[in-house]
Amino acid sequence: MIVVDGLTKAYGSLEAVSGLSFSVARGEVVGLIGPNGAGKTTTLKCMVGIQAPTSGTVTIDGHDIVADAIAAKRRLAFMPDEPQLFEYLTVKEHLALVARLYRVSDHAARVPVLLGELELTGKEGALPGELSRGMRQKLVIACGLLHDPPVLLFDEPLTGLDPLGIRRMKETIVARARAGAAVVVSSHLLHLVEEICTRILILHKGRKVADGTLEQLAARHDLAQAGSDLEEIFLRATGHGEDGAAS
Amino acid sequence: MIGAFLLVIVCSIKNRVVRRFRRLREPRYLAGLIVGLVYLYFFVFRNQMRSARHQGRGFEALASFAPDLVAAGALVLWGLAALLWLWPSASKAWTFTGAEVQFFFTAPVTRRSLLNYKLLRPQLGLLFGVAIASLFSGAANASAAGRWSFVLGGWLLFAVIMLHVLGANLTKAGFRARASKVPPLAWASAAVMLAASGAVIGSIAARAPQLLSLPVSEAFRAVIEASRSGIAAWALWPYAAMVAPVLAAGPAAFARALGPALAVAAVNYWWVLASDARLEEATVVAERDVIRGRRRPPKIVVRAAPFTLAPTGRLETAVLWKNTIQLSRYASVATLIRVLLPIALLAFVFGLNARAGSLVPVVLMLMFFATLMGPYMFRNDLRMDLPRLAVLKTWPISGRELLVGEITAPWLMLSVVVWFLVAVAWGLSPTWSAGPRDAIARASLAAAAAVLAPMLIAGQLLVQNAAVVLFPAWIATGGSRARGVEAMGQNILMFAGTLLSLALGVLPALVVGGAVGWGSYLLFGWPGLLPGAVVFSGVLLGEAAVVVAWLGRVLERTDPSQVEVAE
Repeated sequence: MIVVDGLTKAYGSLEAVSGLSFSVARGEVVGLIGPNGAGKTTTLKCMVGIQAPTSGTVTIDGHDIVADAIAAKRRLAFMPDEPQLFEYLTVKEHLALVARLYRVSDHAARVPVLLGELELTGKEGALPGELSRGMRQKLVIACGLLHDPPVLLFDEPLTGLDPLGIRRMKETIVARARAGAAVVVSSHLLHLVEEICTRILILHKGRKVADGTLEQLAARHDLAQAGSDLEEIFLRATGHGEDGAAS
Repeated sequence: MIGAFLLVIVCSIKNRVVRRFRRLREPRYLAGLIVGLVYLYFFVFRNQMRSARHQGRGFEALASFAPDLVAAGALVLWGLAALLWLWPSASKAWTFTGAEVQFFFTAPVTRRSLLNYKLLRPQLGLLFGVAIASLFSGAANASAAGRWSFVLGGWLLFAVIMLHVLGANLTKAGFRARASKVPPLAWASAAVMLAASGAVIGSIAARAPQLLSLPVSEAFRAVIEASRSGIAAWALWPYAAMVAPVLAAGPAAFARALGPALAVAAVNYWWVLASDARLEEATVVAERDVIRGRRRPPKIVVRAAPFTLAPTGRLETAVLWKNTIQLSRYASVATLIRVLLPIALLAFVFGLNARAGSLVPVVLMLMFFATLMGPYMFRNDLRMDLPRLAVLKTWPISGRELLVGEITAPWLMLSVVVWFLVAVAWGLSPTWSAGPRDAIARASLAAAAAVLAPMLIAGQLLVQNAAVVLFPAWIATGGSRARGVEAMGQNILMFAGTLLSLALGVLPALVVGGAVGWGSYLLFGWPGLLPGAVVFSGVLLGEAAVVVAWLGRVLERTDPSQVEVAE
């Protein structure tokens, strides 16, 4: 469903992402983790067409994100860590705009269900400025889920959510994957990644340093000493010793 | 505590200046600075040096008009004060920034100290602003002494205006927050304002029959006379006292005018301090808003969307719908009053003499203004959306569709305004003595204008949006505006570039449309102008289609990280 092949993104002389390749199949939830500045957000931005790769390709359901951008974008949803909303549109109007952009003809039936799922019922007429941080995040997610895309990309999806919201969000992500969506979750919350992701991809300095299920990573000889503790695996994979110091 | 406040003020200014100098390393700011300085030299400083050779000329002229100007200024000030009191919303005068709330509200600082800080903070900016205004205004032609009195008097005037706005807002907050227990000072303040306004309005209304029979210029003079006599003079005294130092003819006159002005300033300061408790209430609201990220001047008012957006159809319509909503929600009663008040005043003045036809030049002027300046003022297109380019780029919409959708909203709105003005001018034209007498000629001219103006608006909007796409770092996007001489120079460069692009773009349409129009005019007379206008529009439309397709592809390749939001 998602194929990233030799993705490189450079800003001047700085290579934020270098020759990254991986794929995500239907029903998979891939956790994208890495230290600050590892290139996670840049990777996601290249995958959704916000930034053009310097080299390499990203294919969404068979459509190249650069050469066939419209068809690729119609099949994906990106939920950034910081909610980007139009401050002058209400909740309902945001959803109407998205429905038109993605041609969701039955949005009238879908919207109440989605708002209920994300606990936004009763907030239809509210402007983003009248919503809490968590609710704004939920609105972005509602906009992303409205057209029921087969590819979902989340950047720190739990930021600003309350405990109930966190539980609902995890359930939503898992449910979408079970329904056949390919999901990528970028997060620093290792317990979240451990809990909902079927595969883990670790980035360090723009390069892939580990890719596999938790069991596969734990079985790797250079990471074997970490056991099945994701935090320990992460630290070792990113070049830090047992005590967290760089090795 | 004043030391901490001064530290904030001084460091802010110092860092801003250092930042301005540092950014001159970038060629666009350096080029902007050079152009800005050249502009200032040729249009301001050179005139200053010339006028310095004729010191005192403007000063003497000013002295002879001063009493009338003081009276007129007092009337204007009173009008503004009355509007302020009637205004439904509070101004931003008492709001605090997020950092101020974070540091000062949690620190052991008294509310009174905070108030003094808020009064102190903008003073240097006010002084600088008035000094700049003196360079560009008629005061620049006065002698050195006159110029200084203008700057110092102007500074005092604006400082008192700021105090009065703060006091009025606190008083209004007192009325709102304590419906059952309005503080006595609030009642007293409102009563004083009401009494003064009643005296002014009563004095002028008493002469209404006489005023209505006079020509416009004499009517104005009679209004000023009415304001300078009897009870109105007493009511307007504080306003006149504030205007007098600005227009003082020389150091001695300035010194004489300074005393009463300082007295008015002191009364306003006392009034604001006496409202200290209500400042606390008002700032609590501001504080909560800041913390929740709700500070978003200007205020957004939710109004019904202009039309219902169907879930299927052209994608450009979705962007148009969004941008039309944006415009309708930021436009407020205050905006409408700001736009309509001058028009209503002009209509009233011309209507006094019962010559509706006299309004035609005014309407035509407004039409030209809307056509030529509207595209620079109404920016609810890519110029507002570019900071959100990262969001727009995730949408399954082509660059061409996005561009068309973005431009359509301000284009439609300005076109409707221009069509309305064309219709008004045409409707009034039979009584316009200077216009063509022939009804067919007038109708043909109106029809040609109705066809041409929207295309000129579209052309300018396209050039403006093209500039944003091609030079995203050179144009102020979102609600931001860069400041400084270098930013002014950048704006001049961009304006010149825009005009040049527009002239080049319009040229082919002008040649073809002009030839057709001229030919058909020779054949059919005035109605022959219409085919020329249609051909002109057609050629321009064709050019626009090509440019939009090309720009759309550029937009698709634009990296959001290239887009810089001005400080």
